[in-house]
Amino acid sequence: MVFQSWFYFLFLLGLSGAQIFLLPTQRWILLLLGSFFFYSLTGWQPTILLLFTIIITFGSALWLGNEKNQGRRYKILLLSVTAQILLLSAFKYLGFFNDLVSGISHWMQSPSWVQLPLLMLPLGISFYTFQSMGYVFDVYYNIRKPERHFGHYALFVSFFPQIQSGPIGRSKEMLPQWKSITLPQWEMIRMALLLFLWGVLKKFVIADRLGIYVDEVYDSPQQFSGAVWMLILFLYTIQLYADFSAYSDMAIASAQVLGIRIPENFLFPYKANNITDFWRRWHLSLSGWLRDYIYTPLLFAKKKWKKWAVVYAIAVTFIICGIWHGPKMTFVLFGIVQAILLIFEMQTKEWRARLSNQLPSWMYQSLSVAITFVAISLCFILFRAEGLQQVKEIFIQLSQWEYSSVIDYVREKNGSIIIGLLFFLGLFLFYDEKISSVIRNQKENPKKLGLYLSFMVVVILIGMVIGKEQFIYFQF
Amino acid sequence: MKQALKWLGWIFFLTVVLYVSALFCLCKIHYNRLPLFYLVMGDYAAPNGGHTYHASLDWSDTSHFDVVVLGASRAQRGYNTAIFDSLGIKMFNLGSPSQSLQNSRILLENHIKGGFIKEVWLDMVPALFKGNAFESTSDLIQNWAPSKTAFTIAWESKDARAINLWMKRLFCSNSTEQEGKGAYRRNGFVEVNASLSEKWVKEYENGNFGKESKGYVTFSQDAIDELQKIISYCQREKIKLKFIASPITVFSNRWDQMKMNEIMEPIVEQFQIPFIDYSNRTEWNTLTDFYDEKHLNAVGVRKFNLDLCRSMSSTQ
Amino acid sequence: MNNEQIFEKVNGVFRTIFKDDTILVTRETTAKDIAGWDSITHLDIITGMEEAFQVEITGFEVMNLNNVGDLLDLLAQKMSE
Repeated sequence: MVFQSWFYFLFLLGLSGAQIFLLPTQRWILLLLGSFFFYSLTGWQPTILLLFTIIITFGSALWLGNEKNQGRRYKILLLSVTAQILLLSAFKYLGFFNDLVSGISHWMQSPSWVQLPLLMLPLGISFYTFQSMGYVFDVYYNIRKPERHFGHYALFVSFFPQIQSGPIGRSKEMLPQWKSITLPQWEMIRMALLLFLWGVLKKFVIADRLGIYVDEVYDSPQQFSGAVWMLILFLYTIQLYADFSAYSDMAIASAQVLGIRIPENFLFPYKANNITDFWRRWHLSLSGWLRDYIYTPLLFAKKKWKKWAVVYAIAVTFIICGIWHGPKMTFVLFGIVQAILLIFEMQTKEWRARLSNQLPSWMYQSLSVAITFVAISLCFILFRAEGLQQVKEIFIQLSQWEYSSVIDYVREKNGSIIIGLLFFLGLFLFYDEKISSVIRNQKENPKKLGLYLSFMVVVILIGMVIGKEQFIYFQF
Repeated sequence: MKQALKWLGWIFFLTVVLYVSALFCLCKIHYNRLPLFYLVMGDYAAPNGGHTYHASLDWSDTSHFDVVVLGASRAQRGYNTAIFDSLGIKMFNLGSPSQSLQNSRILLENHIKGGFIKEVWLDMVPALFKGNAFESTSDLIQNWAPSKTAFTIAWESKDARAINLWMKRLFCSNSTEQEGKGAYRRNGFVEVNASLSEKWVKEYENGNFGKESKGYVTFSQDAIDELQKIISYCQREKIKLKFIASPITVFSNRWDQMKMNEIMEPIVEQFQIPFIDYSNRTEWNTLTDFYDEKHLNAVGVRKFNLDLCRSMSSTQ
Repeated sequence: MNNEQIFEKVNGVFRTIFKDDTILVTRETTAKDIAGWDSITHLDIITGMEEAFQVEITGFEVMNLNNVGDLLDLLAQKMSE
């Protein structure tokens, strides 16, 4: 069920309406039923799988809670995590495995070995696997006691606003909320409505419109020169942010209407002045998860290596980050590139600090933001390209630079559309923060909020493009 | 609760005001001789007026006709009303670019009554079965003179942009200036007097045809349902319905044609509807009788219409 | 060692690592509050504490440290053993 459909809207409305008739301590039941209904629409097999994950992780956590021996606890953790990773791999990384097998047999010049049949990726598997794995880690590290209430735990893993593409929730924030659910006040509902519409606008007016230009160029890479490609790379960077943050906003708004709070996923990523800062603003729920459950343990396990411990921890964490996104070499490369950039920044910290003292601060700031934006745009090629072959093609195109070609391109695309688009984007980049804070401010003047809302509706009605139904992050 | 309703009312009012003003500005402010509207909306916002508008002005719900033709651009440019008139068949051509089965059905229900019209001929092409894509509504919504029908078409397409297009009618003027391809002749027929375009001549000479390994049209159940509705309506109104597949070029996708025939067979059988199929006739030459990969030119239309008339009278 | 002494020593380690004699941490202090606190300094802080107090702080224990207050409690607990 897509977020931006009447069916979903009615489903949400129905659920929140029905909650009025239940006691605060009973409302979780309705949410659990709703979540399973929602998920069952994807098929009974994925639903069984989800249930399986819930039962395994619930059980492992209880077992960990009862076991005192550290050695045995470690073994239980290993068992649980391995089971989950195997499950995830079976669905997600089989393609990878097949490619590897055919690659090896090709190299060995022997007839292709058995290719395992590819299974359909169950909805949200990467997200709910990580969410439940995080819970098991929490219990292992004694950050929390195992949850004894099966219903509450099941809801934690399956909560429908989060399950498709996050934001990945933590047991510490989510589980306590089910105990007693307070229905939102009118101001909160109003805010949720605005937030949801803002998501719709970002997706249909900004992201999908940009997608038209981006798709055209990515479909025939060789027809466009370097200068045009650079423009398209910038447009894609904005498209990706608009698309993913739109989904996250809709998820947050949906949860709000039901009286639940889920974590934010973005903090104005393109204001980052270096890659380290970028990862404190982009896909927060994932980067936070990786930091707490992969990076920190690795770092402190090898603390004797000092600086090398950091290098080691960053490398492993970001390779995992790359692999999490999907079974493609481009994603693994993405992870590796991020690790290299972060390590580079770590090594050059003092040099950069000296540089910032020599330049006027506004210059240093704007250069940093600009360079970071360009670097990110180049990295995101790995997200969008079909494979390493296409990445190579794109870089070849980028080397063929002619400024005039951009002017031709803009003229061909009916100058004003692109200019208008860029203007809109400029507004978006700089005012996203302002708009975001206005939307999230419950105490805002209702008349003003009403104006914003109407304005958004009109922009959506006039500006929307219906091309792709799906969000980009659905494939993960 | 009351507070909420008041607020929602305020928003509704604001939205309507802003929406109408925005459309007004987009229509009145020009850039490159076209209203801004087109640049914002994209390719499907065609300039107002044109052939469909002209046809809708010529049409009257109370005129008597022997035959009304429905279908897409191949219908609009493929049935020369003057030729049929001269052979004793009084015809009106209600074909329009990209007309989908849903559009045809709505036109039928709103304008064609059994007492005035004897027969309806539906020009069959595989693309009709794609279902109601938004593009197929754009010409009619903008250019069909009777607003109520145009609004029905917009509403049933279930796409917000269709409503934008309909609203545009309020602010942008119409003219019968012939902006589209070809010349408006009589009673809805649009004639294209051109030979095969350079591009397709080249493709023909390079032998770039007949090599497809599969079809491209995804046949939708919705489209088939619309066809059923058309059939029921004609039955109710006691209008004789006929399906005609007009001549095709070598560039047409054989798979799509076959699939369409497959789907049509049981329907034709069940309702005993004449299906006159020219798609496998060899008398029409791609190089001389068509002006592009899909459409007959004036020469090809003449041959086709004369032949059709002859076969009609022989079966009568 | 009482709590005040522990606090003094901890603050001392912070001052050494950040090369800033004006630093005064509180129980609520977290990484966000001190400029330049990143992974390397985080590592240095923990190893610095280990040296200063002659204890071992495991990765396990680090996972549960959310602020300086948690660190003080951990050290107090280790000192009393």
